[in-house]
Amino acid sequence: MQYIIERRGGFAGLKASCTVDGDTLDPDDRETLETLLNSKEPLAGDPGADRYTYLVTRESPSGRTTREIPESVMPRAVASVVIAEI
Amino acid sequence: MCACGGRFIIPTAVLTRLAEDESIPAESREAMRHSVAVEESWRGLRNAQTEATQSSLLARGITSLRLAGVLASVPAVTVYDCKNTRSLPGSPVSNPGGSSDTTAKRAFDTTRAVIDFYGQCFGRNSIDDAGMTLMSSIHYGVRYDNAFWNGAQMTYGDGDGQVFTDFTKSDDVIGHELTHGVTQFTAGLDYSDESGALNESISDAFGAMFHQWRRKQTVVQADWIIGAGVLGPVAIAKGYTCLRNMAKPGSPQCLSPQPSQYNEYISGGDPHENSGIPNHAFYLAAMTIGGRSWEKAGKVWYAALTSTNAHPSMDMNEFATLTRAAARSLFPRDSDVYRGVDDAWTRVGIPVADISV
Repeated sequence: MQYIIERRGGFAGLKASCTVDGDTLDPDDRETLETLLNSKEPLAGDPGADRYTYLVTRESPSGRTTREIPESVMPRAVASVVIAEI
Repeated sequence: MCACGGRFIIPTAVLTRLAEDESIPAESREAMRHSVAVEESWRGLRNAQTEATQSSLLARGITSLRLAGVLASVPAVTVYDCKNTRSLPGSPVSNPGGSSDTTAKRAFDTTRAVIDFYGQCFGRNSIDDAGMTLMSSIHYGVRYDNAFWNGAQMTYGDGDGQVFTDFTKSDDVIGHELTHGVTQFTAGLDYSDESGALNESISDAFGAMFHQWRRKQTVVQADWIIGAGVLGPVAIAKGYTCLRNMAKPGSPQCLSPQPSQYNEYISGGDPHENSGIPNHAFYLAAMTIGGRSWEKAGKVWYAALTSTNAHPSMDMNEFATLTRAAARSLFPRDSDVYRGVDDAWTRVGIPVADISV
């Protein structure tokens, strides 16, 4: 299983992304990410403006799941792996 | 003006469920519990403040608490230090205007200047036009590459030192963030689709005007770029000169090039992408009208933003219509202003539709 993570927003509007293998993630972070991806409720954005949003896609043999995750609940270690596209 | 219902937050049920998940570290769960409490408090405070302000205005048929005589004469400016945590607002900085921390002093001085800019150019008393205290938090997070408005205050990261530096270094960034507050208390533009792009564009336009106003620049002298001061050495070495360019939104020297024409609108795009279209319209209007941007073009944009016909889901065509109407009503003897505004929107692909508003 792998996760495709794309960061959007921020004042700069500069996209950043990466693809990570699920097995390389800290188990607790992966569990948090899975809980967010499996949430039946849509995760609405953080209040205000210029906040980061993470578009996370889980790819596994059973299919793809994509969800927007606001930065305030995104596991920081996972968020930190994205690389800005400059 | 709208009596909007506040902005969305993460469902507390999700945070609560995560906070109760024992497979998640205790520290993280505690942070989530804290987030639930803090977010609910912020939401309540923010909604109460915004709705009380806007409902009062609507009920009385006025567009400014300043006119209602309930303002604080001089808005207070406060600065807090997050000390590289993500806990807002952080610890208060005493006497930030005299601080040895250049970031604290810069946040304080520039925020004060934004207050002066809105007061002197548009007759506005702080972001809510009622003397609201302006709170800034600095040193947010570790190498945090962003600045944001959270609905109640400004927050600035230090940058990673490579692509970005301290986000207080560009005064247009500070003007941009504070203008999100102005938008929240006026049109209340939704942060998605065309209204989201307008929300971002208004922050860029007033941020750029603030930058020009401090330097007393004419529209010809101005550089019309956003965020030049926050670029780090890696970005500069690669030839980037700014984040966005209102004159040339698609310039390859921008870290975040944008569309400049309505037929290039990106459906479902980030507000920071599609803001290039109204950004370019403002630039074209200001250049055609001439002089200093805040004297005519800025007044037209401000009148549209604060119009009683402005509403949260306003699209670009509706906003363009409001600016055309404002140009006529504010400058009835100066037809060049209307022509400049009309021509600007037409050139970005939003021709006149209806001037009856």
